[in-house]
Amino acid sequence: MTPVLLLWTTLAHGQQQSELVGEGRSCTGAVPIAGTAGYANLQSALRTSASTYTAARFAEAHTLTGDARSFKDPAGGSVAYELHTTYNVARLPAYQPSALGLDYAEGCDPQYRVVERPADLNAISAGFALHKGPIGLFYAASLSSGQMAREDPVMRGVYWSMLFPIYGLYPLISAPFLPIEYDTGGSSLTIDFIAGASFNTDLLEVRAGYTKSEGGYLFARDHVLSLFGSLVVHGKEVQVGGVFRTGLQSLDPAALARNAALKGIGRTGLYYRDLPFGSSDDVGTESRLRSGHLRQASLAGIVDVGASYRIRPDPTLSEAVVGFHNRGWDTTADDDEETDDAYGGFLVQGGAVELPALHSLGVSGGWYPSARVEARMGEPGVGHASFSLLLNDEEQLALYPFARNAVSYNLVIDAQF
Amino acid sequence: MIALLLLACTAFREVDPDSPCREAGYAIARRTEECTDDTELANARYEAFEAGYACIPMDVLDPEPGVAPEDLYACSFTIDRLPCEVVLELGDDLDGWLASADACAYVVEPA
Repeated sequence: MTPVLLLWTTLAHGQQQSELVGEGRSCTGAVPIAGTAGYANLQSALRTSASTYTAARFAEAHTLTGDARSFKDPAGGSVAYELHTTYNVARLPAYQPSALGLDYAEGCDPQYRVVERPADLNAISAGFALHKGPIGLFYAASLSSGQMAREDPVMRGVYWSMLFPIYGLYPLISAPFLPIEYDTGGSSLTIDFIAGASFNTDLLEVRAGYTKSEGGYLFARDHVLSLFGSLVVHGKEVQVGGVFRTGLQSLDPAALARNAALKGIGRTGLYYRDLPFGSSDDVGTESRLRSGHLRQASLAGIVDVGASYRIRPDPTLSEAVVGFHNRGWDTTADDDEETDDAYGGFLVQGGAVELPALHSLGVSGGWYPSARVEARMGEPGVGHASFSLLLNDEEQLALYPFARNAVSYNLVIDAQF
Repeated sequence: MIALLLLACTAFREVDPDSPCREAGYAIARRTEECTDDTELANARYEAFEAGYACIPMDVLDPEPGVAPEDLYACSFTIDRLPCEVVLELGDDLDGWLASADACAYVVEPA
């Protein structure tokens, strides 16, 4: 883990050296200024975070994945926990309101009477899945929050890295019975849960459930080609969810052809993505970001390459990345049990992402460097822990197109039994 | 963990003196996009704003008497709340947009 942190610190230092530490004292009671792009971006980020880091997404990405792999066992299950934090998702002007009875000149340096402050997001999720034969049950809950960053950098890090994850455990466990939610415009706290049943066979996996945030939920995937699709049901309307993906999730030619000689080709992901984008509008329509993505993982066992093409708005190549990892990095319980590959290890990925000009969000557009560093350890079919650090990650920028040079980190722990 | 805490250190910095001015342009683009669902038109109006107007820098340490620095954002605040009927009526008339708040005269002027 230490080499990953050292490498990432170097990357971050090179990227934002002049921004690392603000000089002097900032006002402790500063509030965001409404009517600015930064304030609108923060509100958008809070909404997006709440609708993205949902219990359904978490269940699909972690809890149910582990359970799906072990469905051939007579009975079993999985548990998982995730912590996701994004620093500097938006930057917004703030000021010290005299109405609070705080004199900015006494509490902070006068140049910070109006100050630029970043905003952070955090989401924690936990869940479990159980099955007996092909029939299963699952539950997952998520807690997402965001706010203008604390002016004390140490407390800022301690709050998101340690205090929030601890405070959040109780809401995660009691989410179906807990109505506490708030949205002040500049900060918010949202709780979500999903509960449902799954049906898993050699050919097909189907899940249906209820989510607090979106209503009905349906997911289907075949186990041969990894074709997949999902939708949510809002009340009486059936519609594609806010984030829609379809395509090949992870095609393994070697496994498909049962030919070990094809292992060097790696796995192919090819999918289409359609999600809300830009400012929410007043005319009843919704700007959408539509893009195609190609991922070739584990070429020769150690190289990942990826590219994305933005279809709308402003069609263009929008991402190009290359990554390197140790052999066995993406070994799963689906693989041959006699594989000699080690499981887990390190991934280092770099490249560039392109953002379209969106002056409504205060974004002038252009290419930005991107980086991803990830460490993982564990054993297929038993459990794993992974930690990743992201700079200008394509997925993050698709969700938050104003989050240039934002830094995210993600911790996932899961176990199967 | 120490590295993670270091990454969180960008907790505040001085605001760009042109910030209230640029925010007025962003607000024009934002309301255009929100009321027309036309991202290209929104970008075009911001670029016309940039080309046709010059920013009057904000001086946080020595503000104009009677005008607090934070009050300069009343320009973008007012534009940000224009009803869509007004937005559609104003169209490409940027002088009209900037006439909607007295504060705009303190942050932006014709180039």
